[in-house]
Amino acid sequence: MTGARGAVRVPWWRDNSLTLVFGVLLLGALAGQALSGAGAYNQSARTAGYAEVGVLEYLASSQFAVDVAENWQSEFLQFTLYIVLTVWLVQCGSAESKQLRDAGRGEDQVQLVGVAARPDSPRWARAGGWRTRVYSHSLSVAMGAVFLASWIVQALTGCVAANEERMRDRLDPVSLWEYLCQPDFWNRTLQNWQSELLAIGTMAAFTIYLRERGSPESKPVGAPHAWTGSQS
Amino acid sequence: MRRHPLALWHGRARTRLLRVLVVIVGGLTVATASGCGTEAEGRAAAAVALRFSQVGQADPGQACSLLSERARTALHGSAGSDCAAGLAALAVPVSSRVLTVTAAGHSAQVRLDRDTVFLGRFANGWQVTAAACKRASADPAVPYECDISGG
Repeated sequence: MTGARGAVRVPWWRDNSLTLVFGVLLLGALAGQALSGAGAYNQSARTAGYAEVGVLEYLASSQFAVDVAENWQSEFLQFTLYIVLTVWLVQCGSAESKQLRDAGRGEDQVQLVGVAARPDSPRWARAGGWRTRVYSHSLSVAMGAVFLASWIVQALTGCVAANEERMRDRLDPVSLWEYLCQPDFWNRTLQNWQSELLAIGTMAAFTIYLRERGSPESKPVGAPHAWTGSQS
Repeated sequence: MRRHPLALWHGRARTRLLRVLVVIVGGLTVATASGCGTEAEGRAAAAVALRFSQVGQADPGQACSLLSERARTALHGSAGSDCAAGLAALAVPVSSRVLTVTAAGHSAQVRLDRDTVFLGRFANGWQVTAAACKRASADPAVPYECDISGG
């Protein structure tokens, strides 16, 4: 999107710099993970005397897929939970929270739906009925769907990756259902969940007392600790 | 009004981003569901395992060519002679059919009617890394005990 501020035309990349930078960082991190992951995989293969793989072959492997998916599912779970729980739960003084009196789904006037919709509101917000109800939850549904899809991919590829190691160690392979009861699946899952829950909980609590000047994730530097969210 | 980072995912930008995510997750799922060639790899591994079992006694020299380098070396060392002589002394169970095959990445297990064989995928294809294997314990965490084993 290209925006215009007053007479000055703002280039599209400036208006979308946050998404663009995170996109570039994501690709860089994925490339680094692919290179380092292939290196680690090949070290293990050399130890066992097996064939080494190229980076492209590693990218198509279950080992790479499970490492990616286990992190993705936890990130999307984190945001899904945060989006949904912050509808009702509050943290007094946090920049990430609504005030207690605002807890809940909110009035139509505040949400700009139904008769309160603006002419430039999204079409499904103006439509009313089931379309507005669906659109009212589209963010959590989309994030939750990506979480579930990533978790399923983690289970499928984790099963293949675990079986590769099990058979290398002269153990019987396990079925997908057996794998879902294995410590490996839950260890991969829960070690990611705990770190995400720690990070998001810390973020909510730290913003009560700490500030980052200019960041929308922080209250203004001089805001009292008791100010909550948009009150600032 | 205070803007949350998620507020940037509006309109076309959010649709594009979600589309990319769906394609990536979908690709991973399809790649996994198709086994990334696991079925074809399984057939190839099963053919090597069955061939090894069938020629193990009749033609130990050929059977040795189906073993991984480390399995050959281990056999050589344990027998105090060459691979073929060591293999002949072990009396590898002769199987006639494949019961189950599981291939995952560089590893495979082939259950034959009279043996369980483990294989590894090397630069020149599937090779037997362990054969003449018996379950050592009811505990699934205890590995098979194999008369032929290496690599």
